[in-house]
Amino acid sequence: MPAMPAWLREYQNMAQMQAHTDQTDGKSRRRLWLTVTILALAALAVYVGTFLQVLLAK
Amino acid sequence: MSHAATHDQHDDHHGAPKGFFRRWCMSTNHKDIGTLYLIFSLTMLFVGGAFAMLIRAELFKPGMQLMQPYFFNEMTSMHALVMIFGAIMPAFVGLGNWMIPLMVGAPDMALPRMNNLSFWILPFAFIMMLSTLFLPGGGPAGGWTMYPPLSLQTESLAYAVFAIHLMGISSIMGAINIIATILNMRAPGMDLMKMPVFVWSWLITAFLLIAVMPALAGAVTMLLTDKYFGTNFFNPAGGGDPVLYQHIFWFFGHPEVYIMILPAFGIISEIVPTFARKPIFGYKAMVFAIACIAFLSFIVWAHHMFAVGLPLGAEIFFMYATMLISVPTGVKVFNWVATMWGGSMTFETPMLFAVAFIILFTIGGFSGLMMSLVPADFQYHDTYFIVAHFHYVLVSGALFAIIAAAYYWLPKWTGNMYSEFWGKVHFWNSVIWVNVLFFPQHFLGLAGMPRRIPDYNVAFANFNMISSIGGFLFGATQLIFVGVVIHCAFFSKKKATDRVWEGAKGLEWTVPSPAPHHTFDVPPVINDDELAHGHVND
Repeated sequence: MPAMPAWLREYQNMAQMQAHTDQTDGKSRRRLWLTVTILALAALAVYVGTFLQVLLAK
Repeated sequence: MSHAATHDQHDDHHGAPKGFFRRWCMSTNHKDIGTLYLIFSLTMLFVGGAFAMLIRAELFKPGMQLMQPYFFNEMTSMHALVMIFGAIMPAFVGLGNWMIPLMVGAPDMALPRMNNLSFWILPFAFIMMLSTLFLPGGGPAGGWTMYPPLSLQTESLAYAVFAIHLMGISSIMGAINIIATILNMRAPGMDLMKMPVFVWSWLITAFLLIAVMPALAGAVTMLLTDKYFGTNFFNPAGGGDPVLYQHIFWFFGHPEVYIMILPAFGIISEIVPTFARKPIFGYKAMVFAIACIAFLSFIVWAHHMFAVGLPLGAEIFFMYATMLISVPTGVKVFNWVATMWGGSMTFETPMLFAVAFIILFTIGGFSGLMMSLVPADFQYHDTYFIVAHFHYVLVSGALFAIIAAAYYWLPKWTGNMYSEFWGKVHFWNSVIWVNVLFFPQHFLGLAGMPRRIPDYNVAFANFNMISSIGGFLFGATQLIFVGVVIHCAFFSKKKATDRVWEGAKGLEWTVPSPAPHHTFDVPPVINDDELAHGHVND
């Protein structure tokens, strides 16, 4: 298997317990909320994009 | 993996909340919420199943028997909406809730409170949707696709649209939760390419949900404004374009089909290696095949619309793109067979349902391939052939996988073994009657019987009667499943071991049976020998 890029390796290694544990740290919590924010914005973009697409098609 | 004992001792001091309301209504525990999803899904399966029984009763013989045509249309529409959004999808979310944290070594879902909200939205959404049947104008009767202008004539459109919005919000929150859990909560050492295939299948499914559910929400919002606020997005009387709605709907609708089948692929990929006592054949190929199917699902939507009059170039593109899906799907089917090949196989109930899934889903896949051919589709379109096709992939496909998963993980959930005898009675009755129910519908469709009609030509009488008999018996058979589950949960004397199945591998089998209320408060140690798919990077 080809070597994994450093950023992906770091992302993999960050897999840490977030909730119900004493291992939570600020960095992993920020990454969790970054993930959630990006996904929520993506969903919102699809919703708005659907209207834009229809308006442009008309 | 050897940490199971350590964290179990840790778990001893805090179990589930004592009060019913606190435990079930305010739960933030992934196992309890998973159980709630599964109970809800089973309930909706019987509600949708009751609608199906009414449909088959009306179609038992030609002529109008039991109901008015509008009520028949309500039943076909509500049956689909309830089964898709109320039974199949919540069942997979329930399985994901229960098993994903256990499989990746996480203590819970990443966002436990949002998990609670995701579930508790659903009962209200379905109460609202089902209540339309008792309203003066009746419920949605234009099919689950809600094509305008027909759907714009429905009195209860606002209720249906609001219910769909709630279901969509629930699904999107659930999907975000699952992605956040898988990407952020894996135990150290549980690399992405070491995850069980079920977890991979849910990760990809969750991305599909986020990408397409908002498109459905947008489309039905525009329906709402067309009906109540004087817009003309889709209303041809005002210059709108109903075909545009179909494009948007199927941009959601086709990936939705894969949302309902990719987690099933993941389940089968867990069960087959266990009962073949071999690592899954081609782990990476299985993962990439799921990703490939998910990608292709975005570029095939118009194969649902060949008959509306698309440009020839578009029809050819969508035809070939659709055919392409059979390649990664074939990879999966062949890999399941290769996993079984040379294995020390035993056929407990989960394996029986998994083998039936592989065979019957492939039949449904082949009829789908037939319909991808544009010229042939003009004959099949809107006939019972398509009804037979999608019931083969969704009933003997998705539903069989869910039932297989329930039998596979019930001992882990309840701590008791289910009755293997009654499990096998359930299986053989299900597999026989599901074919009696749906196989004749291929012939009806090829002979020209249209779907969504309460009456039909006498030429179709025999196959319809056979199909209805199969339907009644398949429906009754599912009562055996309820009996097996209740017996296993509350009355079974046979205790399950931690590993339950001889060939089972993976983190979920290292915790006791039943799984403690809290697991993996201390991250487990990942041992490659104990992964279901073996050493993938060798």
